[in-house]
Amino acid sequence: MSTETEKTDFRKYLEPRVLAKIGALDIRARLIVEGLINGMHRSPYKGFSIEFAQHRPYSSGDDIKYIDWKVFGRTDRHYIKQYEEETNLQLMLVVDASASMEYSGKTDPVWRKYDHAISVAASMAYVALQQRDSVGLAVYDSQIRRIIRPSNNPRQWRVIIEELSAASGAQKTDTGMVLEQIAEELKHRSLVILISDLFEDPARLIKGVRHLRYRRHDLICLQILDHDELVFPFNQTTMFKGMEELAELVVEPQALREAYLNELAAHNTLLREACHQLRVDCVQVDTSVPLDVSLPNFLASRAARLS
Amino acid sequence: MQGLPLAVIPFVTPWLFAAGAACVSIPIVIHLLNRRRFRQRPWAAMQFLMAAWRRNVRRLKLQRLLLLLLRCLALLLLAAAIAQFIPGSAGLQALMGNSSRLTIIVWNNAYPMGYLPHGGESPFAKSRRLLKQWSQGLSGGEWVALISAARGTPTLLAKPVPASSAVTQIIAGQKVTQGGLNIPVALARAASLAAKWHHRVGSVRVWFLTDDTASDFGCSAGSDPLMQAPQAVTQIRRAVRAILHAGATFRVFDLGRPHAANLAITHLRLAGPEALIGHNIHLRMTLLNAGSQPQPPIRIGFTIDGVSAGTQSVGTLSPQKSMTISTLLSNPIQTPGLHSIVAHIQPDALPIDDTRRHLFDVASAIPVLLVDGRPGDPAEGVLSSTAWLQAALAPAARGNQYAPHVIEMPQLLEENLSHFSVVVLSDVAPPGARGIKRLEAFVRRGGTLLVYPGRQFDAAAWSHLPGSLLPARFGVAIASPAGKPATLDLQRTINAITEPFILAQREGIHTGIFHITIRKHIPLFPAPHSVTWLRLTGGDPLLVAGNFGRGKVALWGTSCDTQWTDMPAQPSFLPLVYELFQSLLPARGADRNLVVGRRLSLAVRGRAFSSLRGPDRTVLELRQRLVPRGEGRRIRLVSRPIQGVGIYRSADGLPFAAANVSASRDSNVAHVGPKMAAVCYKIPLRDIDFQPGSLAARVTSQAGMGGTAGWSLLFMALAMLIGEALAARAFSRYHLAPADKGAAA
Repeated sequence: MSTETEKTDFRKYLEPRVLAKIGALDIRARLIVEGLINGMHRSPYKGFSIEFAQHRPYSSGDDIKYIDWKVFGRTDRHYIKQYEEETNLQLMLVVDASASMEYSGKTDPVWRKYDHAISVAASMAYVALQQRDSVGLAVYDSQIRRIIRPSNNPRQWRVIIEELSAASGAQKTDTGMVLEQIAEELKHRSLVILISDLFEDPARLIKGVRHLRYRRHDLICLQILDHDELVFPFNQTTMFKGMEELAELVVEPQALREAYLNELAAHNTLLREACHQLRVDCVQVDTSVPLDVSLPNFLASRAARLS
Repeated sequence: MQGLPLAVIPFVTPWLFAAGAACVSIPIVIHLLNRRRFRQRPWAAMQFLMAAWRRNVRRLKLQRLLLLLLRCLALLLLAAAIAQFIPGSAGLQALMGNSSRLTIIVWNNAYPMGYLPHGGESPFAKSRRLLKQWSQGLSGGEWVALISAARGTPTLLAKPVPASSAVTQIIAGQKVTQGGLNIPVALARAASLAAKWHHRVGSVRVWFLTDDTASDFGCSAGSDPLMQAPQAVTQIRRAVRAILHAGATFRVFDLGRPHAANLAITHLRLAGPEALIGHNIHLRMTLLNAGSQPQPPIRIGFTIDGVSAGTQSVGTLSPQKSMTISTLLSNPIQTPGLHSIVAHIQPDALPIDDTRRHLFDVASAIPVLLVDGRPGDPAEGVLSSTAWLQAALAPAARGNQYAPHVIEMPQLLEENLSHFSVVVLSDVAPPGARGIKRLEAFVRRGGTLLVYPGRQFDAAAWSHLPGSLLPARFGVAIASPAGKPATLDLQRTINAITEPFILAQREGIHTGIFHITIRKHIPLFPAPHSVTWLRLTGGDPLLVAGNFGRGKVALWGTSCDTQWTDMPAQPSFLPLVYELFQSLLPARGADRNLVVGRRLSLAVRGRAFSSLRGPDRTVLELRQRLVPRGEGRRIRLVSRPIQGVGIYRSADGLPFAAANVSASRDSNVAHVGPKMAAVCYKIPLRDIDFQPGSLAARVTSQAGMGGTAGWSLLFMALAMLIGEALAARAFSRYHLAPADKGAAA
């Protein structure tokens, strides 16, 4: 019974619609990682993991070394052998599991920001594993709570999901410090996807990003924000209680709405400008927007930029 | 409203404003409650909220305070507006827990309301019927006060009482009075009552049931009351304004008849000052045609002491015109004392003013005191002025109209002046202070003083007499050039003498008065309120008269002997003296001939009564008051206001007083129309209900402060509410930062 429940829990983070949309896309690293040679991620290990995929008729311009002569002998026609392309991309998912990620909005009180982060991570991991890429995971709050080394084992996805589901947020965030630790931990150049609300000191966060980039890792920042945090839709007098050991505040939300949104916008602007300078993709993900809308958009635009 | 502080606005319903003002505390209470009642919410982005709060804490506190003030002010203005222009609708009153209402009925029960056309219903009867219907339909919470608008009549229900069958009975028992109408007093009484009661009840309304005749506004039909009787209209408007300012509504129910016609005897009196035994009675009476059509020849009948004394016919009388008629009744009265004469015409729709009565005293002769300052000088062989006057006043041994009594100046202080009607000072030195005092008392009571100068007349001393007894100052005597004596200039005279003799002369009939020559005279300088009766050809006043108290004083500029003028020797001297006396003598019996609504107040000597018998066996109670002033000790009899027309007799059956309706003031029953009435009351035309079928409790509008201020305050309150809403919206408006727009989408 418990096994059935766990299966159900896993499935809720992986929607078929999302996978259908992002399955055709790839998670391109901005930088050439470890000398990829063929396919999308050109691998330095030539012919190491080439697997036959299908034949197709020869057409002028094709390299003759890919002609399958055995087939020519049997059929007296020229066919080209095609192979499944395979890379050795190392994807590291760094997921924020601090207290602030526990927030769930008015529209869907059950769906936390952390749930949305798990969905994003699960989707990205699934796609990467489908592409035979290695996927690792780091769950953190004020420090790294759990780290899973990258692997392209198909069972890695389940391990990752179990680890993400087991994490519970109760601590403050220190993403900058965590990124510095991650940068030291990763032995190979990797694509790091940071999934967090980024509610912390921008200077400290930028320092961690800079350290990661110094180690020549590629970084994607996915800022998970609840719709309430983006529009501040409250009307009645409310006591706001800080989720990361911050003070309490009783205010009339209408009176403070504009000022709050200005503060949030200033914070985001500062982060985006810093990321832009460091050639890091930083994108905001609204929890009220379905993943089959937000993720394909981002991945498609990123692929277009890199190509 | 401009510049009018809110604190001094006379609210229509101040209690409502007070309740609304109390509601001002509602936003404050809500504000305080909101600070204690809030929802709790965990919040992730607390660092941004705290930063926003720190940066805006002062502005937020200021905005909150401003919004609070705006909300309070809006409520206050709303309350003020509602309290100002809603006089107390039943629904609102019921909502607020006070549905009581006071209706003050000002009821015109004056005698013109009894106008009864053939086969119709009088305005008073109709008003009584409507009031009765209305009072029967009253429910709980209704209070009623009844004010009589007739002059001198008591208030019917001076203190408001709850609506009940007793009120209906009181209304049903009322009859039209015989008094005249006094609108300003009645409305002022209603305003006073409204001011006292509008705090005790939810609302107060004043209803005026009247007939809106021309007499009500002191004008004639078709004329503009504002032009013809501005004072009367001003008084009425002031009373109406007082009602509105007292927080009451005002409505007029006009029961008048547009084509009412009425013929009335408005005046009846003796043509002369007194009637004398054995003399014909000379009457003067005035007829008024108050209708819109000319009256055919009118036949007037007379009775003296109840006995027919003849008739007289007069010609056609134009509409809205009056006619004064002189009548000589050849029915000499042979007994002294009080007698009554009654004149009557054919009764019409308003019969009460078709009969008029007059009480007059019949004397054997008019007593005249001649004070001779220079008795005849036998050495000069001339008659003194006193002698000339005595000869003129008493030409025969008996049967004279006047009874002169001659004294010399020193005897003036000892003589009882109250026994005389006229005192003539002829060529005398100025009396001392005591003498002046006695003369002033004599004239003030109604006596006549006549002063002739002469050779020993000290003009300067007379001019400097204390007080204002004399109507002119004397100048220095002027002698006409030899051979060129002055004559009378009747054409340039502002002539107040209306006796036939002077009138005939002015109309060109030779009376010999032009033959009078004046060789010497003392110029007269009239006082401001005196009247010059005769002038000389040079323009100098020769005869100046003035009122003093109830009597008159006349000064001649020349002597009454032949030293300065030949006037005594002329044939016209006798009629001139008689007519002069007739004009100077005040009409006797004014104290006894009253109009309904006035009090009888009469000083009598000797017998006193405690009551009089009036018409229809009514009794008029009298109060007695001792009068120490004057000649001898008298008793003054004072009654309450007389309520009915007729002859009032003493216990021994002799006539003592007569009462008539105030026909000259009130008998013009021509209807002025609702439009003109609205102008006179200065109220909207919709507040005049012409010929109503019922006294429906229609909502009346507020004149003056009410409407204007109420709407102004309402608009201000609405503007304040809109401003508050806009301010609240502006304070909390949400703008997406440009960089966030796409992301949020």
